[in-house]
Amino acid sequence: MNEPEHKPAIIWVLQNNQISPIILDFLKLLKKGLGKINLLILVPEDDNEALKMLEPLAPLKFKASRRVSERSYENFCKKRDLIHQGQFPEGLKYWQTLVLDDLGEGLIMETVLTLPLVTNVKGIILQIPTPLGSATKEEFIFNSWIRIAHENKVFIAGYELLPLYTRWTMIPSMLDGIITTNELSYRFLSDPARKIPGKIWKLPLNEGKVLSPGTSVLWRNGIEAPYHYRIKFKIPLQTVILYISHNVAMSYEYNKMLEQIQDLGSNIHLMFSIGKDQIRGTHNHEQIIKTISGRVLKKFRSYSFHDLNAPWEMITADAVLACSTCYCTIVAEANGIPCIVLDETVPETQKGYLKILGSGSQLKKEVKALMEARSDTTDITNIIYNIVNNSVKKIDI
Amino acid sequence: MDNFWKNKKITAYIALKHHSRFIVPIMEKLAGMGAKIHYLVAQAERSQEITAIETGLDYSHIFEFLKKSDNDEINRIYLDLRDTFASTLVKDIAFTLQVQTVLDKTLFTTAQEYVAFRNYFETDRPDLCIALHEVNRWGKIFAFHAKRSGVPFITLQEGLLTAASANLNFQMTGHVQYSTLCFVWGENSRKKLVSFEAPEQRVIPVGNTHLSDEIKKLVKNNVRKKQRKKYKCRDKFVVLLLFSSDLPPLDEMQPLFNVFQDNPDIMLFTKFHPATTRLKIDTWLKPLNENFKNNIHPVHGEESTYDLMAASDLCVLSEGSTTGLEALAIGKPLVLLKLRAPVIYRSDLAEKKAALSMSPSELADAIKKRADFNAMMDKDHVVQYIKDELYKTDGSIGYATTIMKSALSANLSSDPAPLAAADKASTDWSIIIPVSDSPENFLELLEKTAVNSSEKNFEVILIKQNSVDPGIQQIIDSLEGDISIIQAQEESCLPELMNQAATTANGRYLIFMDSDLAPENDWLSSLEKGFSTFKNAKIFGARIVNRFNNIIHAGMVVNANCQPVSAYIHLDGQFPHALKPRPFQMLDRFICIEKKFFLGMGGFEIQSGRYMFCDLCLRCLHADTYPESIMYLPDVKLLCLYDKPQSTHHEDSIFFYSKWHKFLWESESRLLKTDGVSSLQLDAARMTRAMEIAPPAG
Repeated sequence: MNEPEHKPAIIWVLQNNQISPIILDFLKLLKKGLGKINLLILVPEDDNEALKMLEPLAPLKFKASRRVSERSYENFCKKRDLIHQGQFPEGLKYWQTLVLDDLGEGLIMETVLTLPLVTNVKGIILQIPTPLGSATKEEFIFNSWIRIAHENKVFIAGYELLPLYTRWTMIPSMLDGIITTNELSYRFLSDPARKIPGKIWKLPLNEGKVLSPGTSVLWRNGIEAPYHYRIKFKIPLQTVILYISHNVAMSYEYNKMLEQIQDLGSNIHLMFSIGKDQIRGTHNHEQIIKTISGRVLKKFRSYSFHDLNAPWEMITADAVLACSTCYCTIVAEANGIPCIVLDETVPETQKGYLKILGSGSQLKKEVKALMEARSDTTDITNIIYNIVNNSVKKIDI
Repeated sequence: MDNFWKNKKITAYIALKHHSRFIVPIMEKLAGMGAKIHYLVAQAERSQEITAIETGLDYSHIFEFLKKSDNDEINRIYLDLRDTFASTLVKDIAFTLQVQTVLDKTLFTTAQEYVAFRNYFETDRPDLCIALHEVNRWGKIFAFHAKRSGVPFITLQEGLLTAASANLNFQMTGHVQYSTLCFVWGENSRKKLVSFEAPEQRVIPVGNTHLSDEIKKLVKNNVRKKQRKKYKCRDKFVVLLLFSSDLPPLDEMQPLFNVFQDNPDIMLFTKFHPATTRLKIDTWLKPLNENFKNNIHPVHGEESTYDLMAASDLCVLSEGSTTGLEALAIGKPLVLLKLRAPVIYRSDLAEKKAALSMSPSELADAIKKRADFNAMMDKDHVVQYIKDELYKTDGSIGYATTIMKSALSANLSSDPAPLAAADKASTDWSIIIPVSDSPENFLELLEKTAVNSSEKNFEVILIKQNSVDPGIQQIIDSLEGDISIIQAQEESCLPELMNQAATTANGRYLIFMDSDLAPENDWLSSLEKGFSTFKNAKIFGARIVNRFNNIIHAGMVVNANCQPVSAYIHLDGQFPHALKPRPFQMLDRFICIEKKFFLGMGGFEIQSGRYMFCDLCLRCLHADTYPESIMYLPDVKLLCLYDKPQSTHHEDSIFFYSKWHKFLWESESRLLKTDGVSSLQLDAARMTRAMEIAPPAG
């Protein structure tokens, strides 16, 4: 423990029902990748299952206990005075409406956390509880961490698990940073009408899926792929990756499709799926693509070829592009990856993650939208670096 | 049959079944007299619809009154609520009793309910509203919007037998704030509310509106016999143990439970509080063995408490509860357990000797020995307790509806017609004074009036009660000069006599004052100056101090409980902010008014009683578009010779508060803000003043 203590530390708080195999794999990967930052996993000492599951990450324990301050006039006055100025438009005071019943009049209960000795902590990350799906104990602990962060002037960020695209936005409003996992929540909370004072980040699709309760096995199988290929092909985070489910039988259509978006190519990496059996004459699948689309491929930032039998690599992409619905579109659709099919021979339609388009201009519009969405994206590593480097500020209370 | 209630629309807000039992009998009675009754429920995790559905009541959910176009406003309110609480949660533990997500849901729903209740009054305005109380958010918002719409709002109370105990009386805060009137069970409940902060004029004891009919039904339907047959306990000694929402430690109860294990002659029913969840009960009972479980009858919401009381031979309370009083009223011996565990809901039952105080072990022994609990009860104290806690044991519902009728009548009443009188003005001032009860005070006020008015043209009209003290009569008989006397008749009330005096007055200006007020130097000159300075003002008031030179009246403001009180009351008579002439909404105890205007206004409203000055001011403000019609003149100074306690008759209050319900809104803080005085400074000034006038120690 001596050496890491000199590194800046990030506390990642986990509780019993907040851990899944994919989150565990992800944290292992993250811990390895962060290098100069010490990622400390903190778990309540009575969460035995969590502690066992997180053993590979050497979690630290903390204690949570409840203290009660019995009903008293002083407690009642404290509550009243804290919100005394708040009132409804016609003058009815909030305290008069809520303190004597909903808010427990003179009774106060507090969750106290006893923490292990940790130093140089730059930030705290934990899961955001939501009104329709969190456990009571988990939420009491969450609130205590918020107060600890405030008292110690440490940045605190929460990440989305259950959707934040709801009417209830109190918890996001209390955090210095909110890590959303999808476009819908990101746009919703970023709307100035929501008045969220903290920094709002949106994770790329692959990391968003790690933190989603509805994630399929594909995402776990491919968990390392996005990091591997971005490093291998030096793909910047803001560059869109499109997975092209190419088929030799439709080489002409695929070439035309790429021509439709070549103007945007400087910011796009193409991942071509290739089948080992798609050998025609003296050309294998990769050669066919390079021969037919060589000219247009030069317009794109970079491209790579991937075995069709390793569909988990598809999770690296922001979307799957195809000229007809096919095996890849079904896999993508079923696993929550956007699918765009440019096919003028069938009626246009949109269902779930699948969009069938009838024109190149529509395709271009969709790809532009993907690029915009990607430009708002920050991966968890960069979020952590932002926190550690103090490039995001605590909210002013 | 009286058609008063025909087609009157009455709406009650209900939440929990055990609370609605007080409301429903009143509503049924009103429906029987022709009123259209309807119930409202609101949003809660413990669905309030269940109460209405299971009780078979015609109800609406308040969200039915929300429109899509309300969304923006709801969001605005929610965001303000959210930010108010979020900013405290980040740095303080005060609101961490619940988890934030529950609070968040509560806040959003509160914003919706606020708008929904307001919409309800805009689209579906009832004539009168009822709720159990206005301490929870639904009752408070409902009461607030009813007041804004001018709809009389009646709250009831569930006994208040425990809440005001010891240091918990702050729980009485805001109990009677936006309600027009608050019905309580008895005089003790009224005292508890009033001793904290409630305006006593609006708290009226009516009895328990559920119990009064239920006792009759228990007898008429032979409930005891039927229940005992049902539970096969006709020949057994039956004990009913009533728990509050917090269950005591099981080990403390164990000695009592053990008695029932192997004794076929006795039987125990345990009745759990409706607020206790099934899960909590199951967890609590879990450690008990099966033999025990077979020998008791745990009852939750499936059986009427009164039916169980009827079937029992002894009732036992684990903590203070309204059920204790109900058990006594039904005629059952009662034990209040002495527990080692901390008691949240304290009770004075044992202290007042209305219940036996026993530990579970002592009770167990007594039951085992088949003690005669009836004989052990102190019957005189029980009778006294019931008398103190229940205003009526019979006829409460009828009494409550009679008051409601008065309230609604007042709310719908129109202003009095102008008074007819000869247009004569042979003098400047007519000073109209009710004769004091005290000869000394009467003499002093007459002397001061004579001395301090000597340079002016005035007459005095005395209003003399039917019978007066011989000393007073002697003074009256000795009076000379321009003095006339109005003699009260048997049924006349003071406003009526004041009006009579006004019609016979010869002055251009009328001065009405309470008895026991004595004018000081230059009062009439100051009034003259007031009339010439404030030409558009119609009614003028005075600075009134008591013998300690403490302020009794310096213009009337409305306090946080919507009750008119004097500005800067009990501060030094020279308190700088009380020395400013300025307009007020109301004046009290003394007014000066042009006779012609007074007669045109119809004089004092006869039903307004002790509120006649305030009522006249409010009528004047509403009849006159000029906002500064009611003017306080600090240079007009009077000495209050005796500050008579106000009577506790409710008729005047029912009339005044029901009629002006819509217009009595908190204004005291606005005055303080205008004057740059904080509440803390005001408290400090009052404290200083109290110390200055305190008699020297020893």
